[in-house]
Amino acid sequence: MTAATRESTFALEGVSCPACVFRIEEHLKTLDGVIQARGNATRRRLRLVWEPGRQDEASLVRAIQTLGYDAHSFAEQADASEPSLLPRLAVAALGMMNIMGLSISVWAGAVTDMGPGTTQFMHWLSALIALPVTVYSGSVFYLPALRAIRVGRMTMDTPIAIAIWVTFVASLVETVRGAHHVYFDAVVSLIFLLLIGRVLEQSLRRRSGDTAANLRDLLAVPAFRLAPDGTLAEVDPATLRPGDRILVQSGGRVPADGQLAGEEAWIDESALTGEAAPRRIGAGGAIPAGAVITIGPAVLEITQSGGSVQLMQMSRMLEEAAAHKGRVQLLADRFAQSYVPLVLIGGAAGFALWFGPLGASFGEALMIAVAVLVVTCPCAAGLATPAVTTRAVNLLLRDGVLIKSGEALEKLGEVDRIYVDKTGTLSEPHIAVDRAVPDALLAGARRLAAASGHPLARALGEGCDAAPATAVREHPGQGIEAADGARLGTAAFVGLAEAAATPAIYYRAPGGEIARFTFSESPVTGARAAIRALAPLQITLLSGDGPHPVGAFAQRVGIETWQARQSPLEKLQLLQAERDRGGRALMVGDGINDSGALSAAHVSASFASATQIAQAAADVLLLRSDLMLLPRALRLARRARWLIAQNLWFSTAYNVLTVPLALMGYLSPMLAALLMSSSSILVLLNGLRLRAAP
Amino acid sequence: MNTLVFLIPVSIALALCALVGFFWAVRSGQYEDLEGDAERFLYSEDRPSPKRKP
Repeated sequence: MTAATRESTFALEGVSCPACVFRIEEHLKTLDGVIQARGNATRRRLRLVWEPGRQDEASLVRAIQTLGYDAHSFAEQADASEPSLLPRLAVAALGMMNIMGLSISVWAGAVTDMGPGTTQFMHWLSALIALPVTVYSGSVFYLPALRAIRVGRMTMDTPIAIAIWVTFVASLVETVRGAHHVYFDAVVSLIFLLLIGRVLEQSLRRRSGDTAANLRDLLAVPAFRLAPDGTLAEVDPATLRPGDRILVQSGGRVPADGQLAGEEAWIDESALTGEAAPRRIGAGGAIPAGAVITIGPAVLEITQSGGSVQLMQMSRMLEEAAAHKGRVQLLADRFAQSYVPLVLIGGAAGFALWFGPLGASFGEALMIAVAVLVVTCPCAAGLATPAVTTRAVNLLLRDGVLIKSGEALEKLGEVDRIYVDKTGTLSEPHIAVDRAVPDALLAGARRLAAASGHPLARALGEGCDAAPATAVREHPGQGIEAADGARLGTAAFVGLAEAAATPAIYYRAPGGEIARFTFSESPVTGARAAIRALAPLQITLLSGDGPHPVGAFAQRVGIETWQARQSPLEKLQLLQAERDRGGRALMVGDGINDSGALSAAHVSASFASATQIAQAAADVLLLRSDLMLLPRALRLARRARWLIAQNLWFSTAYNVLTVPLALMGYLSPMLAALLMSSSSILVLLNGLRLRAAP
Repeated sequence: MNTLVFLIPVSIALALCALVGFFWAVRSGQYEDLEGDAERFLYSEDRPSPKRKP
């Protein structure tokens, strides 16, 4: 390679199979100046070697985008991940095959005329081969066990480490003594079979780690901070703080969550939501980090930066899912602390029983003890939950649903009733401006409305040319108040006792004049279909509006039970009462007034377009404004829960059944290791049965 | 017996060669992308073999 070439790695987005990666590869190779293109379909990355004079990173990314995918330059950090277990597996496999070959000749020699010298020679050879396998490949088990012992703890690796070393040392002693009870074949196959389980587990973890790293790297783009005097400086995105203003050019990626300070911009959020169509953002609209400005340039005011941006949450979530233990699993871990000593006692008891009263030979008794130690390892139980949650979280994210914690996934699967907020969640307000409202009042109301996040106010403030009012105070569930005393909100908030038949907001100017703005509502697209899909569950519509509009709307979308005039506190109390009663309610809402209820509910869902507070309170975020995602997520969560339960039952049954068999002497150590690995593999495969809901 | 003294070291040496080969393969990244490399030939364009003689 000459000095005139550059090499860089890109993270690919939107690729779903190896074929997509190859299409990108083939296309890039035809470009002028591209010397080498090699994609990695497993890690969703692409390595390119190119000539800086003829191409640059931006043009390469554009070339990938013309194919309908997206990419961003990936700054490969030093890989801090654990080393691959494959070489260890290979050493174990090779050692196992060779020792097996030697063992077969020893067994055959026992019934033919093999002399003791030859047998001895075979044993010494086996010992020679078993040594590197035990020390190198076996370190996966005994090093963690040693580390745990040093801090006075026992882990699931402890019995395995003991089993390995006891068998190895006993065999070595027998070899030196020239005796016949040599079990190097057992040690080596034990290590090999157990390693298979570990290798599978590692690849599962890596896969979600890679996706998380690809996501995180979306934010590693240069940021241009606008100083108050209008000068522009390139800064590290990590140094951005809320309140900073940055400039993002067309085609640039947004490094932190922000609000549009300009008039209009179009953004592409495909990396975040999978939605390819560009979206128009009006003044003050929220733009998530990781989005690409397609038509700009855009000046943004940062609202969230660093670890709190939505994208970082997504990436963290992916990594947590792989490590997620779940409530049942945590119980199992606590159990393990007292369980491991029992395993050791069981192994010792098995040895004593067979060697003593039952009259077995030393070798036979030892093998029974080893089989007990191996077969009791609850490795399958340890994989039972992560095998399913990792896949579920990944599948849901691809669908556009972000689950904030593994626990939320479990809770989502057990939901038995749903509470839905009306305005903003199920309905879209359209303003019907009364022509009788004087222009001055209308302008004042609109300025105030533009400063509010409430859906009705947003509908009123839309298209407002004047700057939004500043120094406002929001009263959740009531309205918004400006510093000069102007108020916008419910009838009661402006001092009227009036029940409207349609949703309305009232504006009271500082002078005291009151104007009423009424809205017509229409269900958001897909609301009826989503409600029908959720119908087997009891759905209740909650709204702060009066009974007339709420009842009429409930009928329109097909909800039978509804509660009108719910204040934020009443909503919260309702969900709390539901929880105290042991109900498992899902709360869906998007407003500040829902945030209390969202955190009180058993599990809650909100939208990525919802208010920040609602997003923070919810356990589940729908990244696209498509209600149909909800029934799909519920179905998948239920299925995941069912698979987790299956896995836990299976692994428990496995341990309960095999331990007595091992104690009775029906299992050889090899068979025990084979059973243990296959139980882990079964659990992993069962997790893969989880498919995206149709 | 005499043959064993010769043959067994040979077999172990051969096994070691295989092991060295495998370590080299892991180091050079051949196990990085099991999914993609397995299917690569299905999608790449067929090119005439450069060695083919008329």
